[in-house]
Amino acid sequence: MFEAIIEGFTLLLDPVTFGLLFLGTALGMFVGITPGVGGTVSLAILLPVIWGMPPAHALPLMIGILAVGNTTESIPAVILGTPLEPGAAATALDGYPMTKRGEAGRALGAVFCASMLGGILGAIALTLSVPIAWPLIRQFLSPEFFMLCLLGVVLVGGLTGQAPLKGLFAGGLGLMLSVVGGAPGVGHYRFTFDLPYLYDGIPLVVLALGLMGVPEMVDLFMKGTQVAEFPKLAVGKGVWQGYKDTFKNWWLVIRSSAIGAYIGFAPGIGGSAAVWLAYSHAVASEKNGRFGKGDVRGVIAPESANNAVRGGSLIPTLLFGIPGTGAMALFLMAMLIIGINPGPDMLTKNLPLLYNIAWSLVIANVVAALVATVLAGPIARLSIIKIHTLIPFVLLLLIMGAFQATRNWGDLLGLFMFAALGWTMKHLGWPRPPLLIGFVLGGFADKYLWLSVSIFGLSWLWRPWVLGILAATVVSLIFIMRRRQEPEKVVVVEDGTE
Amino acid sequence: MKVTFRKETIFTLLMVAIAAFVVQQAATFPLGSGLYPLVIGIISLGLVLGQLLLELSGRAGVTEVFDIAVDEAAKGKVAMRRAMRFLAWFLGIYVATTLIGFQYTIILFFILFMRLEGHIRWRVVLLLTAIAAVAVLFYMPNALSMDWPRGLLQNLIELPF
Repeated sequence: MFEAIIEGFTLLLDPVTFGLLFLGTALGMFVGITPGVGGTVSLAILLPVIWGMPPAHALPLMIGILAVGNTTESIPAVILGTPLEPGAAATALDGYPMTKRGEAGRALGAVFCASMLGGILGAIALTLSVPIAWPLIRQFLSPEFFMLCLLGVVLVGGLTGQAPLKGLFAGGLGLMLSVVGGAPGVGHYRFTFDLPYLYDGIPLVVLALGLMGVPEMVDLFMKGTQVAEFPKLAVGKGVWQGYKDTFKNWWLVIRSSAIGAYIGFAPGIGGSAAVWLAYSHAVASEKNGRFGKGDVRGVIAPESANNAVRGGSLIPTLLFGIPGTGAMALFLMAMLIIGINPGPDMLTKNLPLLYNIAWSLVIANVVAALVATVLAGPIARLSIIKIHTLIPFVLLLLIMGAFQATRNWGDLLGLFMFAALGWTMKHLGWPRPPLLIGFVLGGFADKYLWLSVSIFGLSWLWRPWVLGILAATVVSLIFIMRRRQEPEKVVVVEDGTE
Repeated sequence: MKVTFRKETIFTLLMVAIAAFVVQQAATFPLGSGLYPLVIGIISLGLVLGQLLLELSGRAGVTEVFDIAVDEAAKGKVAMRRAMRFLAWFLGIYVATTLIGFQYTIILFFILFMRLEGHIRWRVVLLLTAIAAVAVLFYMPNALSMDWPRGLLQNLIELPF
């Protein structure tokens, strides 16, 4: 195994291979800040290019694109409070208040460092998973995944301070919205009102951009000033402070990365769920938190998880040939094109290539963090630009991102409707994150429930892991409801502010 | 029990109506497709009715939620008027798109928004609009195969973009 790890690294020492990894990383960073163009689209565009390439060249190029989009997609969320991708929404909750305080540089530093460490830890998870992946895969089937989805909605629904009913209902609203469209396994369409646009359900990107993106633009317009409330020349400074914050919270980075890697490992769930679960974990576990008001740990947790997802999602794709997401399905197809068979072969004759992928993940994440850090200063200065010059660009990106979903007028109308819903919820004190996570997990929960009942009948309810996760869900609910009874404590954090 | 009705409760009532609609509809679906929405609909209805009760009894209070906080400067009547103006711009983009297509609407929007709302200098307006025009007319259609929503204008006249 050790020899294979070394051989995987030496494959990257070839200048052409390293150059392709660098090119892929640069493309991935660009794709990250382009709304609606995720890993799936960029890999689809890349497929004709890799045709005929040797695996040692094609793999780093693809990994570069896949690995680092999550790093740069958080920049608009931090600077403008406007996530252009669903996976960046959790970062906005604390990153944006930091920007408003004039700490954009520090927030970006935390984003880049946590992303880098998350990506590296995801790669380590991929490496370590080789001997233990199979037993884990066998333990968790559709009933366990269904219960995990419910636990996820309850955990994020509980992130509502003293209004648990609002949070839990918002999660329920997300679940209800996820039901729109065709039911899994049966030929029946639900809540489509005979509109063909709704037959495939509501596109996630439309809901996420409307709910979280447009309302921030409306509020900025209402304020009529630049984002940073205390504009000063040092707005782009503090990047290294963000790095220090991240290393100081190393244990949170590891836990959040583990959440990300595990969610990536679970088929289909993806980064949007991982970031919220990591965020809710940070809120529940970290002391003296000022989450939602610019706590740097609220940036570190989702960013670590977001990048660790990639390593996790590669595990079932490479080792079992089971792609968990659309991007992974294309990655699988690309591997077949370049002549590599995912599955048991990856653990035997292709083991060096497996570690080549892990090394590529590590290097891509480090390169992306370094390049982004160099650019952090100019990026942070966007927060002191007059908002009337920024709004047209951001609105263009939001509309374009939404329209990329299905290229139908329904996308634009959906964007408007969810923007209205998101803005109203924000101003009336209804939390939007549980709605988003409910929507993301709702589709999977529906599918997993159908599979569970079809395969196991009602006996799935008595599976040990199902009962364990159910117990965790009930305990979480009791904890959430009890917390409402306790008055909120005002805490003093290190910088002396309340 | 003294009933307190605040205008915020209208939104809660709307949520009650949505959950009730989901339950009512799901009850008419076949079991295979209706069970899941029925269960989540009933649970959601219970939760939102609980919230409604809290609000009507005046016990909901002011609560903090984990979300991006609303800025003080984004509250009040002046801010609300600005929100309505933003709504008008947003809807204006859609209406104009149905008439002249998305790409020309965006160019027009850039110029009008920056001049009328921000009083930005013409030089800056034209530079930023040119960047946007290159993006929507050349880069996005070619690099990303974007096919923007067409308007009446495109249906009447053959245009290069």
